[in-house]
Amino acid sequence: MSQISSSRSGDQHSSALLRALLLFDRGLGLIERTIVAGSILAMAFLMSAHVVGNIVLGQGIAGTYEITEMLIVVITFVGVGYAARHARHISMSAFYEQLGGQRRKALLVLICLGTALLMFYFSYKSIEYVITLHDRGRTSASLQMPLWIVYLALPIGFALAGIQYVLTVIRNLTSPGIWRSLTEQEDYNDAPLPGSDAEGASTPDDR
Amino acid sequence: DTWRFGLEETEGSVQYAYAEAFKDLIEEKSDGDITVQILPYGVWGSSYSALYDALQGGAIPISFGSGFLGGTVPESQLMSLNYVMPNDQLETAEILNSDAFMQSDAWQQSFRSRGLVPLAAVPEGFQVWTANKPIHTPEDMKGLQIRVMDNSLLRATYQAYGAAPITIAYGELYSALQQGQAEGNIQPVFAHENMGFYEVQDDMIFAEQAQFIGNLIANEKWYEALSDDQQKMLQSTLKEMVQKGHDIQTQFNAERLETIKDKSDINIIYLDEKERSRFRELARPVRKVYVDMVGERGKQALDILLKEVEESKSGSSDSDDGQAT
Amino acid sequence: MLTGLGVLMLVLLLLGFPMMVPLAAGTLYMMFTGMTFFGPDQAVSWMINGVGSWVLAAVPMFIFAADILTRGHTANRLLDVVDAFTRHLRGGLPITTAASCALFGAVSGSTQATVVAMGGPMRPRLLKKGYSDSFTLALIINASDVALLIPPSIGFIIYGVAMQTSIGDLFLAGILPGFLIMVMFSLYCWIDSRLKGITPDPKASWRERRRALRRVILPLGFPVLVVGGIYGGFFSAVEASAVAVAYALLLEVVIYRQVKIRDLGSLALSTGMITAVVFILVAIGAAFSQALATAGVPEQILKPIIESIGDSQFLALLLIAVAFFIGCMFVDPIVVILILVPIFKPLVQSTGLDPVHVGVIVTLQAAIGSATPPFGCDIFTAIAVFRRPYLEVIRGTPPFILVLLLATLILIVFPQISLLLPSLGSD
Ligand code: NA
Ligand code: NA
Repeated sequence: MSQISSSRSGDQHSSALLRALLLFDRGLGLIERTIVAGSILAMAFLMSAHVVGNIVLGQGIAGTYEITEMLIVVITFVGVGYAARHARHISMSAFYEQLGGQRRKALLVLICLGTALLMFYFSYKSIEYVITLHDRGRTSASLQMPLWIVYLALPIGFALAGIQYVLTVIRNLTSPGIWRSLTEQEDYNDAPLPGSDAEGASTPDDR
Repeated sequence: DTWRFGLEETEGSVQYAYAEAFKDLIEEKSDGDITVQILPYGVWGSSYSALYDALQGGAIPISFGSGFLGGTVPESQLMSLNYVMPNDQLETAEILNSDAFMQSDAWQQSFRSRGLVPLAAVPEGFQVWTANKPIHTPEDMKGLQIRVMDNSLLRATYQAYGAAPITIAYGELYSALQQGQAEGNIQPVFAHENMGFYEVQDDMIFAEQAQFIGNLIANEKWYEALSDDQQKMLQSTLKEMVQKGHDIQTQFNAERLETIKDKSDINIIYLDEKERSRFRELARPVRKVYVDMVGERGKQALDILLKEVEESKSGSSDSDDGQAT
Repeated sequence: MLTGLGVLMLVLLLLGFPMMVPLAAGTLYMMFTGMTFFGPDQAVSWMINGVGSWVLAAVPMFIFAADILTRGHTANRLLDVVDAFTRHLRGGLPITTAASCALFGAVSGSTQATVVAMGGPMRPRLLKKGYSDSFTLALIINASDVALLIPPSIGFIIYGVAMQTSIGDLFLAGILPGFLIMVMFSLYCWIDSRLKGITPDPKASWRERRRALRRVILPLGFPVLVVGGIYGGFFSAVEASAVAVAYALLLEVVIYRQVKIRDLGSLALSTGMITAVVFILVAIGAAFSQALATAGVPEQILKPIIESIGDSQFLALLLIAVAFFIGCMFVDPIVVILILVPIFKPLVQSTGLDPVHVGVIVTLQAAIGSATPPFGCDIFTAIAVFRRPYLEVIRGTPPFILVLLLATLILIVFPQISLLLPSLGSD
């Protein structure tokens, strides 16, 4: 986790543009965090209450399965944006790591542009899908909940991810150094040291 | 032309055999102008909504839709109401596919308002209960944690019988039955056999409360774009398939029941008319739950169905009056 | 067109695009070139349905539970006991790790959840003992995958439905091969620690062992509750993941007070991020494999080979193993089973192979596939959870995969290993 906190240094010299972007970005981050963490907590609470109900009262909570599945969808797609913000998406970086300096930066910008393009395309496609579901009146089988509301997570999540990749491009084009996301600078060989992440799945410290 | 035909079941199922017979008839009648491409479960995806999306979007213009169709066409849950159809399975197939019901405004509009056309209804055999004790009366079912799909109508039905319905994912069901988390199960015979559920249950109860019905559905735009001749050919094929589907289904379920009897010593129970009548009594109020859930159009469809059943009451000694609620 | 697809995906992959990009680009390529009759709209539907599945809920819940237990003391107390009893044995720690992963995976039914729940607390200890990280990660990933062979197993259920063979027999058939692989893994661990010269620590005194045991009474409720609850029929394996969260909270928040209520938000957030990183690949992977299936790619490749194979049982089994192995390298194992089983079914019937034995071979390949590059869900999980680079995570896997392939060969030659228990089971 040290790798992230130690590399947030270039921010002092932010231009007005960057400052505006950072503010905008912070707002988006707050929304993402609330939705993702809230969904996990809701899932844990709902599922355990369902189990307790089943054992104690012989009666679980109707629709638990359905809501759980919806929460997974929300976590997955809104989380795509959140993971992009922290440059956590999985990639095979062997070739990338062979490059140095401006070449590496150029490849990173290319990757971010390409990925942003794809994210916006999926965002657009899923808006179409959500509208279609709305028009068809598709509901969930157990609770008859309109599904288009739940699946809004797709266009929103893909758009958030696309925005993150664009912000990363802007950061790289306006600031020296290599930026893996708007706020995270990359050091050479910044793979975390063994032991620094011994706490396993712990949180990157969030702003 | 290629007609793509999506199934909710894998190869070696009732739906697959039906689709093969349908394919033979269509390809023969069209002199090879039309090829039917069968897409079983797994090929188009593994979650039913992906199939219904493909059907509504037109990528797969013909498809089966059954138990999970409720979110797409709520009125279709009519097919899971208990003690509505006659006991005779062929008679059920004939009534469901009669013009009076299948072509009724209520049933057609239920689907057409979602971009679909109901083509036929294919009974795939009785929904059979299993448990680890014999069930003859609602008292036997009292408090039984019987597994139902995550579906409010089914939950209401089994609550009406006095059971404590429990929701368990299909993939987890075998273990749940084995460990006793679920004490009972409801499936057509072929599914009990196919998934091996009978291996971990003691009693199998035929209460003839409902049949597993596969709705054969077309994409509306695709259907309307067919030429008059093609529509006629399709409709005449569907008429022929009523008897064929019944033959396929009864043979399948008889064979599967034999397998179950061969491989296990599960106790098979057939409820008699008197025993069934007590469950029927309890199931009647659930019709109101259905109507409240799906509204006026669903009520009309139910009334038409009950009227047809009433009028044809020939072989079914114990069907009841035609009032919806 | 198949070549174009391969080149496109490979280039994007090697350039270092996020893994979701090559998968998505491959899917769209098939759709735009008309290889499949589905359009991009269906990709959205497939993505949603790929992750909107109840069974997957076990993954975030076990991650959450593991996060809570690791933040607090419980995980360490449990491991102190393991340490006290095994540290004087050569390879004791890795062997215990392998066994715990296999057991937990067997019960939970989710290999990904196992990577997190067992791997999380075990890894730091292994590292401290001097085992390399690649070895440690590979051990965790591969041992977790053995879970697919031990009942209850979703792989067997899907295979049983597709092949129409008894799921109960398959469950029985998986047990001995599962044990065989565990023994082979243990042997490898023993040899590895010998070669690396990792010396065993001095034996713990009984006093120390007793003290470790006393400290673990409450944490032991964790496995007791999860395993007991499932086998006692109180809840399902997926539901057990939420019970694990509840118990973890009880221990760490209420009893030990190592975790504060206000920490839960950040723990949930980190769980959510790991879940999203893995599940977006599950989602797009589902779309990719479905597009591949409707494009008829597996059939095009396999039909000619099947026809040329004749009626040799050995060749048939070998082909099945190779096909499933390669399939599972790229695509989710469940989807591979659903798509390939119908293609191979006639071959199994014409060569007179026992479908139960074939099921064991197939499920074993599925297990191997989840840990095999380039696309393996458990690899992604390990990367997301432990935050190690892709190459480092996979570097240690070849020996394990060799062991697993050797096991496959043994099972092909000695079908009795799988068929013994089912034959006893059916009188
Ligand atoms: Na298992
Ligand atoms: Na793989």
